[in-house]
Amino acid sequence: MKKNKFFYILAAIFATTSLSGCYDSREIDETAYIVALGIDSENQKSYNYTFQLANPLEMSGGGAENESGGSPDSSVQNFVVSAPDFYIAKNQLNNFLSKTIDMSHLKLIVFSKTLDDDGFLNHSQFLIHEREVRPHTLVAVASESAGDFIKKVKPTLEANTAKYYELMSIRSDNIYAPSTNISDFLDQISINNRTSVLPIAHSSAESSGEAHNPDELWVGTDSARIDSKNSCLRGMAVFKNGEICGYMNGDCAMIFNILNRKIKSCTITLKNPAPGNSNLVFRVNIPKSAGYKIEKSKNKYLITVSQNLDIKFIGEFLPEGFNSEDELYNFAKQTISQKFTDFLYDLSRGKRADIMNMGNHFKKLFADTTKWDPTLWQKIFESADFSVNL
Amino acid sequence: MKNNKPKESLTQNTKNRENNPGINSYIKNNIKDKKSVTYLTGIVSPNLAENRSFLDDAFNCEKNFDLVVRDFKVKIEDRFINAFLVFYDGLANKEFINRDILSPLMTKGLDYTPKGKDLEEIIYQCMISQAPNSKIREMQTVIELVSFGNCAVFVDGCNCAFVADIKGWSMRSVGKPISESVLTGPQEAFCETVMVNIALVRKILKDPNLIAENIPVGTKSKTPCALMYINGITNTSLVKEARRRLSQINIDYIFSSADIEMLIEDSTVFPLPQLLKTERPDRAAAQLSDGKVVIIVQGSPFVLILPATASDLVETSEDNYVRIAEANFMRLIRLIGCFLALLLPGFFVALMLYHHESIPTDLLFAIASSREQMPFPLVLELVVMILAFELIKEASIRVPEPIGSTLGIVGGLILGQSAVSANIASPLLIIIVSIAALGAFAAPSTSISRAISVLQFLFIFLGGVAGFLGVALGLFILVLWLAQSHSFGVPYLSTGQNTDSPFFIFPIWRRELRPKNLNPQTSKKQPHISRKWKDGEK
Amino acid sequence: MVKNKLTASFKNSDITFVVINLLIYRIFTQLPMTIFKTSGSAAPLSNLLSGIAAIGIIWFLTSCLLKNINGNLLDAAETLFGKLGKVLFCLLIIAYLAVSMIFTLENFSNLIRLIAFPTSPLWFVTIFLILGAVLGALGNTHSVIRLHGIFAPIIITVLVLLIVSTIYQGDTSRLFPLLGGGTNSVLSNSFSGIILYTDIILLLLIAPNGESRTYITKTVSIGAIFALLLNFLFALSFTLKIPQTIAQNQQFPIYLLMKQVYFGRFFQRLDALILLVSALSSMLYMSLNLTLIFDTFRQSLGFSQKPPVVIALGVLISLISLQSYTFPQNSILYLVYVCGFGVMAFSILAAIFAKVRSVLSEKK
Repeated sequence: MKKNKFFYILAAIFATTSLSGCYDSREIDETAYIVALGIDSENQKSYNYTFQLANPLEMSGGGAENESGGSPDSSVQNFVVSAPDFYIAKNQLNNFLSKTIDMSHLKLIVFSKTLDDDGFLNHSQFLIHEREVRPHTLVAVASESAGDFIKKVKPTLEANTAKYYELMSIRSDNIYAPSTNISDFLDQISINNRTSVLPIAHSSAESSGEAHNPDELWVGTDSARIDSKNSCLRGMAVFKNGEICGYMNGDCAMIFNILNRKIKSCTITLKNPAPGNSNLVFRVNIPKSAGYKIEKSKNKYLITVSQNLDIKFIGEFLPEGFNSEDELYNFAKQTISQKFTDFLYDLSRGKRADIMNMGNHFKKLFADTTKWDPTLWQKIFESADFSVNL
Repeated sequence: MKNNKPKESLTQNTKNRENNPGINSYIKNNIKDKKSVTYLTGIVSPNLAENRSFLDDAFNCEKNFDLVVRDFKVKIEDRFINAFLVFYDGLANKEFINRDILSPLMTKGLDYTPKGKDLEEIIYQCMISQAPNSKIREMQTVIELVSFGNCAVFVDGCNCAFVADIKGWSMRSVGKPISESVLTGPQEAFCETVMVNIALVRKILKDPNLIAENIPVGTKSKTPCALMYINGITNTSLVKEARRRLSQINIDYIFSSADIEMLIEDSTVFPLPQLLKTERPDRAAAQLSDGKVVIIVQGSPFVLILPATASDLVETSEDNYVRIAEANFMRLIRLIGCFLALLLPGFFVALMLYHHESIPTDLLFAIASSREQMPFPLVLELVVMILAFELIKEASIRVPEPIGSTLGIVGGLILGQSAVSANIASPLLIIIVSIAALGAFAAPSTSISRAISVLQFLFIFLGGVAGFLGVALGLFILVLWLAQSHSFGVPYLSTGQNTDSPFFIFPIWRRELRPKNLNPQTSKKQPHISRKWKDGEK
Repeated sequence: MVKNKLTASFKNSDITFVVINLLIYRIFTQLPMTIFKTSGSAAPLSNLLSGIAAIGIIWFLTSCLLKNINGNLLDAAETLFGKLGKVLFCLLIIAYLAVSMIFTLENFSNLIRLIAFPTSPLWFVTIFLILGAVLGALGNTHSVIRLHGIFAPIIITVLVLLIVSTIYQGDTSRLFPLLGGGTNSVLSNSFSGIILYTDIILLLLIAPNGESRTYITKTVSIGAIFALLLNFLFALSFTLKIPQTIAQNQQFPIYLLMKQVYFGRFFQRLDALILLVSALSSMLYMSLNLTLIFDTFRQSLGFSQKPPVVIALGVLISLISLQSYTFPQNSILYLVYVCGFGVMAFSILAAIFAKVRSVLSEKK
């Protein structure tokens, strides 16, 4: 009887497993993997979706052979589909290809800056609800066309484009662009008065920088240019209520990263006030993120931002124009504080977007949500004065 | 000489015969002369001719050319009494026969017959001084002893046979272990002779409480099996159960310990061994000291140790001969090897077919590019490569030594290389199969390794059908089966030592207690402080 | 046979792991999400308060009930409330176990399907889980308990890995305001959160056969504290990591949290591991559940043949769980709440009676 019992159990397992069918079984060579997605708006009723698929057969050691930008990266294939929404586009592509699409290795989503607020919100929702898309997929806004950006990406130091995207998203020292993933982006734009930032994706690094203002003491390192036609992420787009309310350059992105402690160290270059002298370069270590304090006096709010920075001058000798180290560091502190304050005022008065999420710090003072009012906070933020203590 | 002993009544002897079914069937099947007293009673007759006739039929003397029946005369004082001896040429030592039996009885003879002693006693006293001897009255016993290499002497007028233990068969000397070699431990291994094996164990333990019971197994072969245990340590119910199972085996012939294992284990279908097999006397001795029972079978160099649990399956003798850290590391490697062998192919199939998102992106594209050229589905490819590997493994056991290394080159390099070049298998698959195979080899014994090689197909099948869900089901069922199984009453997944964890060992000076799951009579094997020389030890 | 001195006993460590699995397996279901959605930022606080209440109840039940009554919870019911009380309690227990199993099977099937089998029919996943549960239940209780001792550490390790890999990158501002929707909301969610731990009743049906009854309270308490700490950390990790806007639209908190894990380029995700341990956890729970349903049937109605009862129950439960979409929405969830709190209340009542009886008998 025991022997029979064993065989019945074995038969049950075998029947269960073999007759039930291998649902969802997919061979790797029967699947096409999307590594990047670009979304441009074509007109009010449709979008251009650029799907970048990996081409494993072409992926071998080494990147592109020339940097002229003429030859496309053969390790990927780009398909542009025009459709009213993402799912129709995806189904079209699925229909077109012989292989099944898989989005589980999607590394980058690029939106065009011309998308309306519904476009950002809807696409973010579609993508986050896709089972295969990961919440930490990097999102960016293209300075021109999302499709062009993706097509022009050509890794030189990596074996394939997917690796390039992945390294871009996981690196923790990208100073001139913030790093935002699709989950946080959706969370931030789906609630009223919530703000978000996305890095700006430039199709060519040559065109990404800005001209330096010679009168400014802060030497914009953003003005540096790379002689390369390769794409890059630099600067940030500011979102409020789900739509873009402004752009900020790489220096502002650096300040954003410092205040949020997204980077742990950087260098800041200041112009030596004494004419004819070389610039002053400081190494800055950021031990922790900024603290915020709000004080009210006479119907006016003062927000004090305290940022702990470990500044060290890079140089052997005291520069000309400074008699002591204290004078030098005071100058640096003053200049950097001024730059940070200008940044905060730009956010408050210009963009009117609390991208630093100072509101969250003040939420801690309230016991429950019934007492916390985000609308009230927005008014406080837009009218407050700022002071930065370094 | 007359036999002074009263003759037993025929009726009584017939009843004795009826009570002994072994004699019955043997006599029925082999003896033609059904009228002789010997046939009717099964007892040695004082009539030499009757005995001769009986043995001629019993041993098929006409056909067996290696059976020697030598007629001679025993000299007593000045007269000669007819006698014959019977033995198997090749099993008995002819030199002993000539020197210690025939020469004393024939040429020297017996010079006097002390009064009050009968012929049997006189001849017995004469023979016993030359060789180990016993007086046997049952023909069945005589037949068994002669079949085992003894020499039986029948003398006219004596109703017993004098059986001399002068075995002289050829046997292998104590050699090195083949399947359990160690670097720093003893290099002795069991051989095929049960007495030599018992001696090998006894010389390690030197304990008068070490008992070796003889339980013959096999109705026709009567293969001697020694049941060894240490009185006062081993659980008596375990010994009783082992004895019960051995003595109730009803089979004609037993050839090796593997037959005994299959006949006494709890479940034959169970994939893992429920009795340990070893060819090392030191390992057998160590297990005896822990309270286990050892069975030594004549004709097999592998002894059985019972009971066996899952934690025994990762132990080897080497663990006791190297340093603790090394021993634990090797155990860990062995454990990892076993798990890899069992689960890696199944996990690989599950990942490749159902869980692409868990594979690193670079690796995924590398695999995709290599699989692009493959004509076969993954599962089929994997199964074919594993079967090919099993074929090589099986062939290498039987291949003659001179061309063994060539087979390795053929199998490993050419087949593997060619399979990849011909796009029949992908390189990653070859690596997976190799790692799984190496993991199986890391298992301490070949039976575990083979069991794992069979079980891995189950996980491949389940992984191919339902990914990690199928693997989870397979794992659950396998561990459930292990949890429900017992080996001689000991749960298979019970942990052994009291102070040790199931899979790691502590230094010998910390192993104070015997395995709790064996419930030994004496659980403490050393005091808390066993290193008296060490100051301050607590 | 090796006859052990203590027959029919479980090891204390195995009991601890049974406790842990019984108290953490509901992490894989949708039950925590019902609490997270209403609590918002106060979810960890609610969970902590639920945990403290649960520890108190567990300690009370084990110390009052098991120490003062011979046998298990059903014997206690008979001693205290007579045969009718025992039959009623048996029926309640069976109802709870059956409903809980239907709920568990449905949830785990949906979760596993969501993780890796999006286009498969639900019965494909259900059949694997119920097969494991039925085969586990066909064995004896000892083997099921032993399985817990082997698989529960793996489940715990993966959960700890999940929590550790998500908690350190969380946004602490999501924890504020501390009281979320208000004190009332925190307290009511704390009370309803006890449903995550009602399966401790199962232990009271088997614990009396443990290796040492003297240490049963300690054994159970250690397991309970560890499991409740794990629950709290899970809630904390979820609140820190998952924005409320995304949490509102999903059913399984562990699914959301699992997707957040990113270790780097090599070992990116825990999806497959979570699938593996959730399948194991569900099979462990359901096999124990089926075993106890049969034992309850045997003690109350006198059934002795195990295979037909277990197989029939398994088939019935799987059919009901597959058809659950035809029932009114959340009906099974409400049944779980009703039966769970009912069983818990009955057990507390029995414990109080037992304690009073023992005090009175001591005074005499």
